[in-house]
Amino acid sequence: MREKRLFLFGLFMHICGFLLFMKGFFPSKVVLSGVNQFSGGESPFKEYQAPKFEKLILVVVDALRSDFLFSRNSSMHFVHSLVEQGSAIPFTAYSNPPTVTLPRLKGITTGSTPNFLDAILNVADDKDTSQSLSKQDSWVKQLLLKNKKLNFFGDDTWLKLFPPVEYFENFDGTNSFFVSDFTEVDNNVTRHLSTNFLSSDWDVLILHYLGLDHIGHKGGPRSSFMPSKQKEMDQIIEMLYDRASDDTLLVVMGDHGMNEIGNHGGSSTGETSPGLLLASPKFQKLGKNLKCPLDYNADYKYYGKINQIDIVPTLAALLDFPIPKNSLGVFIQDFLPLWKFENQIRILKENCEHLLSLYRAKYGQSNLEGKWEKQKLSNSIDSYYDFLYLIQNQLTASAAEYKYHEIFLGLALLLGSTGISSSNFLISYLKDKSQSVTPYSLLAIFILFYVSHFFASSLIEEEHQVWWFLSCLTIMTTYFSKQISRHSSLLLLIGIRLIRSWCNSGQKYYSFSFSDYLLGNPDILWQLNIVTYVVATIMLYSEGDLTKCFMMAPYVNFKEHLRDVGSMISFILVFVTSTVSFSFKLCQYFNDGNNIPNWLYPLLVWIGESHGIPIESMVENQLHALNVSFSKSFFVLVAVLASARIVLGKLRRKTNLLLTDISNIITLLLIHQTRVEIIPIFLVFFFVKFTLKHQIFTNDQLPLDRKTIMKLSWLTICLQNLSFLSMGNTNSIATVDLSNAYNGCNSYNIFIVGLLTIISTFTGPIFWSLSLSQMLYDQKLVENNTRTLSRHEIAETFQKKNISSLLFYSTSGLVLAISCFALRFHLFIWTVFSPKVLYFASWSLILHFFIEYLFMGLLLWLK
Amino acid sequence: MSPNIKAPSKTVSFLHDGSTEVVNIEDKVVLKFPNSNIPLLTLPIHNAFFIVGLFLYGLQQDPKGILRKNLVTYIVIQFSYGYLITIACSNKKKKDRSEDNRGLLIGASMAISLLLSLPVFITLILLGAPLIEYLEETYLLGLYLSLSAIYPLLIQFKCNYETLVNFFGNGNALQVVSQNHVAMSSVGYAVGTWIGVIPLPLDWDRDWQKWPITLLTGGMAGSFLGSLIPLFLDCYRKFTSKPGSKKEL
Repeated sequence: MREKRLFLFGLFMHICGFLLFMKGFFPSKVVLSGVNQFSGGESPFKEYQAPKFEKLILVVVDALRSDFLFSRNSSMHFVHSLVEQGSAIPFTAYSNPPTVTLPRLKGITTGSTPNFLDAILNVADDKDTSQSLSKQDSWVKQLLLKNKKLNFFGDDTWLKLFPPVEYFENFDGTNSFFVSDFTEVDNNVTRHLSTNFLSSDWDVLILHYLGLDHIGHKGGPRSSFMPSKQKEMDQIIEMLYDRASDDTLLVVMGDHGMNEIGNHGGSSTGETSPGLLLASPKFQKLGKNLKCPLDYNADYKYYGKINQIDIVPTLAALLDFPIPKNSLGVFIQDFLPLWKFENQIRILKENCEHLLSLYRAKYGQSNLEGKWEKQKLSNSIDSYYDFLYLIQNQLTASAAEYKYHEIFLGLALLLGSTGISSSNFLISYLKDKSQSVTPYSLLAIFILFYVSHFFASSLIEEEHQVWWFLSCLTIMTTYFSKQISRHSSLLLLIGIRLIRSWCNSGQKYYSFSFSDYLLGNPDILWQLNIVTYVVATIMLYSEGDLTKCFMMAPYVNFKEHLRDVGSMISFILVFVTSTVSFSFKLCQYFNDGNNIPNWLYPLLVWIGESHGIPIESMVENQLHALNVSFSKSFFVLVAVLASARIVLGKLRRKTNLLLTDISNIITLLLIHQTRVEIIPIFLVFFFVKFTLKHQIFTNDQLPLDRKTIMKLSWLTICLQNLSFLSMGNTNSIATVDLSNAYNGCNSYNIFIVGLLTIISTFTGPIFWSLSLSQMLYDQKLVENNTRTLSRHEIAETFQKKNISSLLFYSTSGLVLAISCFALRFHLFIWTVFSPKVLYFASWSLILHFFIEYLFMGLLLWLK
Repeated sequence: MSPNIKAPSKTVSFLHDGSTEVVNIEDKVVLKFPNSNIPLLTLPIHNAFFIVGLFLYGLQQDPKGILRKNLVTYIVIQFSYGYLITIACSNKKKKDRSEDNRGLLIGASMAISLLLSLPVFITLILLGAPLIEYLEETYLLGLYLSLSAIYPLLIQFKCNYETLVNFFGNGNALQVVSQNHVAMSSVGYAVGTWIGVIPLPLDWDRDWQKWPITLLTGGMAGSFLGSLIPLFLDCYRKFTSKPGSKKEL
């Protein structure tokens, strides 16, 4: 009893502590909707009633690092001559990580910086169209509102952000899918720049070239293709500059840079230092007198260093439109002399007013107001810049916004919970009659080894390797301490070896995986899928007591058994459930545009015909509607099966194998929520599960002793993590799979979609926790030899299992929080550590608390 | 001389070809296994030199080619190492029957360990080596593993399977193995190879993180370090039991 109270207290502290830590750790961001107006009602950017520029050409060259433009290694000689003439003003523009095209384009167009949660939302819904910035203010929107004619050619990410029908007069998106293509992607853009087009009536031309990025990914920044590509870009810039009229502003920029091996996404200097160039003959009067090219330097610092988002207010002033609402940029000082002095002050005032409005929206009224009142009277440009940078820093520096009180309180609670769980663990060691130290110390060593990996960013990225290492060690140590036989340990090893190779995980290695192979061989894929469905159905039908619950008369012989109406009903229910799920998978696969193997095609046609849909001349929506109804009926059938099993079992006192049946029913649900190429992994899961079960039930009697329960729960944790990471998941938010999140949904419902997402993300872990419970509490009655577990024994087993899993979760939670806090200024804090925190939170809260504690507790209570 | 438990010759029975002696001392069964009598001779220091040599040869640039090229060299080295083991393990007091067949023993052990490289290779894959890629590298690693971890054991135990199983499988295995120089170098090799995977996932992007350099290096270093353990244990025991060395068991 004391153990239980301690456990509950520890669990409570763990959950509260981790939530509190996260609340302090993740700052929030305010995004304002709507379109901005000039603060004073009329434009402060005009001079002599006219804007500085009427037309804009923006050339985005993907991954154009600053040294590609300005260093001596650069082949862009026309750019160099422009800079030397003074017609182009060069910068190195800091781009905020994540240095990936989509978030960067958002930054370049809206002027906002992504914070961590923003970056998650960015990537999480990468696959649908809700990315669109059509609701948010950006300079593209502002120019559209000025009735400018916009044209876009290049990377189709832009079209995702700006729905082309709404925004662009002419457009052509190129897909960046084929990274090995260096020339076609760019020719696709350049072919639109015919003389005809350039002399026609347009105001804004946006070009996005991908070839350079592709070269980087393939061969790195020193690739032999690089000089010729730079020359090509240089010629395009020359052509555009020569054709452009005097009131056209030409902007050349990289959306992000690249690192030494040509990749990007992180926050190294190379990746965050793209070049930026604003060119127009008008800039000659700024009298810059710059030398170009400059010597190569490893910091990629060339000329003035600005923030990439500063381009937004600068464009606003040069082209005369209100600064987009969420922009955090500061007007680039180099361009101020284009205006008269009093207008310069007006521009800066507008910029200040704009940033202040954002500041007010975020913090409410503040001490800055007084400062602003004083500032307004000043006439010193420098003091305006000081003021602008002050607000900008406060708005962008999310790192400074850690709420230390909450973080410390959270850490203290986590520490307390770890203390409680480890003392519980010690108590349980002392209570163990066998008094053998080895399994307890091994568990402690494994957990310590595991938690130490939280301090290495690359090990977090490659966590599947850590779990592989630990799983192998666990199996080997159990074999060497003679707890499992040689051939079961060999079978287990083979099983986890197959699991490991199912999908690629992590960032570093990309090797052969079964899922890739199956995707390339649909025949084998569907044969295996059929086998998986058949095995799962047979297990559901015969492993547990499902049929016995439905049967009218007690089991006499097989013939009688077949005649029984109840057994008929249960068979039909089970058969229909899995068939519906399989049909759904097949139709979904077809609907996604894949080719069905020839031998399965008749089945598909038959499914279609029996629902009145001709497959050959099928309308897409019809099949979609069919899929939705399939999925819905499948969910209903699963619910009916589960509740019938529980109720009938209770009525007829057949609760012995309840968990077996429930876990088999839920396994069907899990298969339903898995991607087709991963479904056959369940065959391996069944194999491993039966090896384990066989091993336990030949050696031990229920209830299992402390030691065995502890070892089994640790092995389950290993298997859960290994299969989680081998089913296509990683510790990066980008791999959250939404392809099964809308099964059976006609419209977006946050609750249902969220639930389905959780199930399809955690299929592996849920499967293993159900299998564990099956091993811990269910035993087949063999010739009345074994007795069923009493209520008290069930509660004790449950308790013992919880102690070891809480030890794992509380220790990991504490160490993860400590490592994130200690490394909060680390380069990868937002890209590696923070996603891990979120993943851990969902493991701990959803899997450990809701599924393994509440749901299992409920089932055991029903048993 | 031999650090093994010195048996007062109460009842000594010879099993097999005399490589194992079962000695009953006060109802306790203590197994005595062949051990190197000249530990310094069987120290696999050549492994340490060999791996350094491989690195100097450019292992980092072309692991596969270098490992392939130097396999023959390593086999030759192992031949002479095997000869050293037979010398170190020969019992001078007794007439060793197999002494005349040294050449045969070394040759047979070599052949067996080359054959065993296949099961070793499969084990490596089972324990997580790449499934389809780098097969040749993995196989070479298996060859080296088999040559430097299994081959010395085979020689020491005169290719006697039962003695070997007894050696690792007896109730007192931890103590027996930890005192055996050759066996500890093999265990060290295996452990070193296993630990050698740890640097692989780190994002340091070094040449030496290529498969299977770290594993090979771990193994080679492990075999050398492992064979030092019995020496240390030996020194430790001598140091602690000096005052009453006569009373020793």
